[in-house]
Amino acid sequence: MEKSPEKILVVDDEELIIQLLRDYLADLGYEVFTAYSSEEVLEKIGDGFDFDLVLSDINLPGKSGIELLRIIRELKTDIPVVLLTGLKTLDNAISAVKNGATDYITKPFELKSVGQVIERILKKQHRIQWQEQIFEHLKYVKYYFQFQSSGFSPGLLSKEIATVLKKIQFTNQAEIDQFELAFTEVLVNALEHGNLELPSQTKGTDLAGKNPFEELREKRLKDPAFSQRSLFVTFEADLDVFSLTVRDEGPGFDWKKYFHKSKQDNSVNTDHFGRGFKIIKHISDEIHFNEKGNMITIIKNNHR
Amino acid sequence: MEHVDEKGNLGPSKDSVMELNIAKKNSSLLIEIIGAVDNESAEELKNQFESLIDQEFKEAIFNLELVPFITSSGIGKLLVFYKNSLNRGKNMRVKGISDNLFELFKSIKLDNLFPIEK
Repeated sequence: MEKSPEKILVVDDEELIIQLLRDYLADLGYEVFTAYSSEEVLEKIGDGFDFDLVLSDINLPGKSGIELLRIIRELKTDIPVVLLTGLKTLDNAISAVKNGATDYITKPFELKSVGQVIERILKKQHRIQWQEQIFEHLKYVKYYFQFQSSGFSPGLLSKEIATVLKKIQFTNQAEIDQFELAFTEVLVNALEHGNLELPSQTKGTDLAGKNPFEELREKRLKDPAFSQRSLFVTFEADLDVFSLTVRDEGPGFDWKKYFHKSKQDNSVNTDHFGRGFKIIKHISDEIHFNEKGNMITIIKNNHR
Repeated sequence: MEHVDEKGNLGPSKDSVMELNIAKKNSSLLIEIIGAVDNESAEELKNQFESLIDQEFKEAIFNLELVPFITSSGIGKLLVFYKNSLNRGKNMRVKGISDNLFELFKSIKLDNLFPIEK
């Protein structure tokens, strides 16, 4: 089946630019639509027009290209928007890219380079759409990771795992944020208290200077006896439940004693010990340890 | 203050770098935290708190309206600030907190230490 041409909306108030881009992009096989102002674009979007990419000048009568970008982002979050800019508005274009524009092209431009930028962006966009389609139909995922302690980032891995939950649309973003928090706490515990054997009590309550905990952490990350220990992480999820299991190579801890204490403990914990664990308990439905206390599994059911 | 993330979503992104907005109103110090507080930004919080704690104020009001996410390390820094405030005869409270964070803060009984408002 032949693919329908991609739809590009060119927005500029100069007739000459519109004509040049329309003819060139049509020759490349795109279906080209044009508008002379942001207001005209909004009318088109309001009428139900759908585009694969918007190529817009920054300087437009009425609402500027930057304002148009903001409105498009509110209405259609992922459509690529490329801004055309003169040197005078280059700073605005660079800041617009930081704020959601896909790219910018400086005027005067060569038509060929416009074609190249558009082709690159649409290719990338297709890849993202294909990936989203793959995850749309995914019923079950299982990941297995092994990391060496030195250089391991609990935050980055937590983010990665949370992204998987987002892609399979396990639940809403606010809940996924909570799960990411639980993942971070589990991984930080395994790294810092498991493999690096750092005692929480050294964290201290001074605002000034480095605390003994941080100093010991840095030292142990350089000591092969601690830094070469591995972390073994397994993550499984379907739409009903997920589980995260993390095993470290530390000595383990007496979780039975701690679990018992923490169930009855109604006091306010202003020291550092065990707060991460309370967060994990608050977010998870089930927590399991192995006998040695160096492996934890957290389970969360989908309560939709 | 609005943020647009790399996918163009408006609002504070938990992937964006944490920022602090500080203002003084009468005898209150208003501290607005914007963005997620992970373990790295928790260290940044601590550094900022160090310079804030000795400023003249009677009450520090933390606005967490734009905080989607705060790790135990970040909570630890809030507690360090609380303890240091207490030692100096100052108060603190937290406002604008999301439902999820409110439940989390309650589960670790922070509401027994200082007022927490949604």
